[in-house]
Amino acid sequence: MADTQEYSGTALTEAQSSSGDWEPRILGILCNWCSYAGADLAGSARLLHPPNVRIIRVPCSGRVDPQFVLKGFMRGFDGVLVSGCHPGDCHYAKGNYYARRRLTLLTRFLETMGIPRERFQFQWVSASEGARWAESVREMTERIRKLGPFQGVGRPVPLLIPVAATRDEPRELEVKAQ
Amino acid sequence: MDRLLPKAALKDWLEWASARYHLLGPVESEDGSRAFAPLSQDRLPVLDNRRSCLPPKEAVLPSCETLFTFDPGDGEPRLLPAGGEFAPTLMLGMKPCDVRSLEVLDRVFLDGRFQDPYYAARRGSLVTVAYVCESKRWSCFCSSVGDPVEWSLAADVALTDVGDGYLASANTSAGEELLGCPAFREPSGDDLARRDVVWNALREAAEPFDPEAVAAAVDWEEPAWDAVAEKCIGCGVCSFLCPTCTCFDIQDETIGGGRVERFRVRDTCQFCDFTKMGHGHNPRPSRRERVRQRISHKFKYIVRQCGICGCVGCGRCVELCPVNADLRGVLSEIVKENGCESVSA
Amino acid sequence: MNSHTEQIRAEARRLLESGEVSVVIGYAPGSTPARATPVFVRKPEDAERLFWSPACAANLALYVREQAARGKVAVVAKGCDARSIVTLIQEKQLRREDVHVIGVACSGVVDAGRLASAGVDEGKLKSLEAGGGALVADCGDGPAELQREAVLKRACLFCDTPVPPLWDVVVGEAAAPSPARDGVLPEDLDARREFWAEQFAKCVRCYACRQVCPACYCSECFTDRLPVGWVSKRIAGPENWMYHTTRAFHMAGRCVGCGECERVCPAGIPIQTLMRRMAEEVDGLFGYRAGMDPDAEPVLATYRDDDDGPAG
Repeated sequence: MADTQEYSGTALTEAQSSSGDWEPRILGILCNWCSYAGADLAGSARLLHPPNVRIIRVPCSGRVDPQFVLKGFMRGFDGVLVSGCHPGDCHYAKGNYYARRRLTLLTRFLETMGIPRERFQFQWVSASEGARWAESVREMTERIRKLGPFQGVGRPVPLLIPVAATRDEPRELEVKAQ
Repeated sequence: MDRLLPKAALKDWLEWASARYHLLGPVESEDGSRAFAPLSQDRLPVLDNRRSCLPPKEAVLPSCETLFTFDPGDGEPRLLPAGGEFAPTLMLGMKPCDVRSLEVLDRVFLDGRFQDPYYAARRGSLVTVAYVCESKRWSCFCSSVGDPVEWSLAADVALTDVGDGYLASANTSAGEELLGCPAFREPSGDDLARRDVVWNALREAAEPFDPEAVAAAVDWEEPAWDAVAEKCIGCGVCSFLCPTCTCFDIQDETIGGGRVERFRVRDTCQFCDFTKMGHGHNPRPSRRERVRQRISHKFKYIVRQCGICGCVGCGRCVELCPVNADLRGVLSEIVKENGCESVSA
Repeated sequence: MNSHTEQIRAEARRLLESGEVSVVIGYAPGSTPARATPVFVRKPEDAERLFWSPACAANLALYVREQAARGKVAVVAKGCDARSIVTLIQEKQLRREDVHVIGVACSGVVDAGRLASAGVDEGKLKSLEAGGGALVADCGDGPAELQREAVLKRACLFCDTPVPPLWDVVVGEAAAPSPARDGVLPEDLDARREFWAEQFAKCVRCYACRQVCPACYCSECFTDRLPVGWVSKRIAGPENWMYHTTRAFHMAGRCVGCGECERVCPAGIPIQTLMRRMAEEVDGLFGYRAGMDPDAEPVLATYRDDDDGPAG
């Protein structure tokens, strides 16, 4: 990738399914006390649901900085899901109320950036709602599958003097024994 | 060697040159500004005295460039150098200040014991065609800092608008080769006379500026530093857009799969953390020190270290400074304080 | 000399003579009649350096926070600038009693960078004045009216607060606002994504937009937090996008639409379009406009039980 200023790679490139077909990759940000526990319940109850959501656990949905979501899209995730406690049930009393303001605003703002709101899901799932969690993952995965891969947020900036030919052989590095 | 290129034949010359070179030139952007970009038959250069927003240093010192990539392999680590062979490139429409800026960059990156291989590779692939401005903008002060005509003659070819054509002067063998295109013809006496008129007008400066005198005048303690620092907002515009500013940062970043990329990016001494050290100390803790650094570096340190004035008088900093902290005025103050010859302001 | 200039100078003189303020932050004439530069007047006799014209584009609220830490300051403020001051007061960065606002009713200021495209040779400009809602420039051939849409700072075309919402004295009168609609953003979502990708490819990450913004006063910006890595230092499309969208979010409910970010951008990115969209969403969702009421709680630092949100 040395001949353009395109982002040289994301950590997601190697995570393709073995069949080579595109699989939706969804970033999930779950609050520890409700949603993460709910997702755990879905697991221990053996509720079948797709593996497409990569979960990051946060103490509270109020911890979710909108830039986590923005970074997810920037890095190439096809969808982002934020899940927290129902209003009134927040473990920290009011974290989710702040999250509600921020993330509702974010949903609208994403459309200003050209990202359809279908790619960002903001929901409440409690610790006992394992089935609801599984259903939301199924539903979002299918929705993203229909939307197709996210086309990305940036455009490569070509360098003014282009590379005419790349060097042929990479240099082998000597690995010194410890 | 002088030849005349009728304006209508500019397209033909570019077509002929495109078989030998990748072409770059100033094109008009949507908002009316100029930018150096690849040329084609649908995208012809605009030759006038409006300067490009991004200076030509973008071509030889890109704002972001990969130095190498490290791949751990599977127990067999490899280092993949970036770049390689660069395409021979013709950069057309460089103003005298642009051409001179390459000279300053060359002193920094190519002189002395350490040659920057990345810069050298790109610079070596570059052939330059200057366009001698028919007039100066209000913010230009090239002729105060040096002789812009002499600067253009350091390019491979220098073009001057003489009415219905461009008078082309070749100054190197690569330049002479370029003028071998059948689109060129012999210039008339009138053409040469008109060129001299343009050249003489360009050389005129309101007041002479002796870079050596300014270098001597610029001092560690100046009231000018406080005056400028008070209104300077510490943005990077003056240095990012300066054709001779070279500061860069080098970062290593993981790019997935255990691979690491080392790249270098544009940086500026005006950012507050530019000189912040690992242990937390910052020898330039406030705007005052950073303003002093930039002006001293440009007008004193480079003169002492490289024997060339670091400023080419292009006027970008003057036009683009958000708070109109006009550099020419600042230099005027400094030389007046020290009783030297003044700068045109 | 216009009466605005006279009044500003008189007020500055009065404040400095009485010792009520330690510094008056205002505008002085710049390199051309289309430019003005900030000036910090500390002695009554230096009040002569102050002036007012349509060239007074900068948002001087930028300097107030730091200067006010040393004692009471006076600042010349247009509508948008005064809104910035209100925001600083709301966020406890400034006390109301530490700033004396010399408000100026403004019908728009000139973005000198737009003059060339509007056919005005800045080098030949002899004078630039506003009178009766018109902008008049003399390039040596006599006065000629300028087309406002072509030369004003673009944000001024969308302005709805020509009169400062906060002032200690106010100079001049302004016509009722008739803000235009920003038609720059395409309607189609994919076209929008492409539009921003193209715009942010131009960004050189000089951070002028951030530095010129009075609301960006963090001692350490998220872009500087390299160990955390919110935004890489890499200057490339996706990273530039990340910087601008994150900053837009940091400005949600705080951006007053002064348009300085867009004016100073050397790459010509329509940053105001982004900021205005955010401000419209904030107003639509929460009925809140930045910088209008010094006693209002910052919009994202509070919540209501009946805020919009997900079902359930």
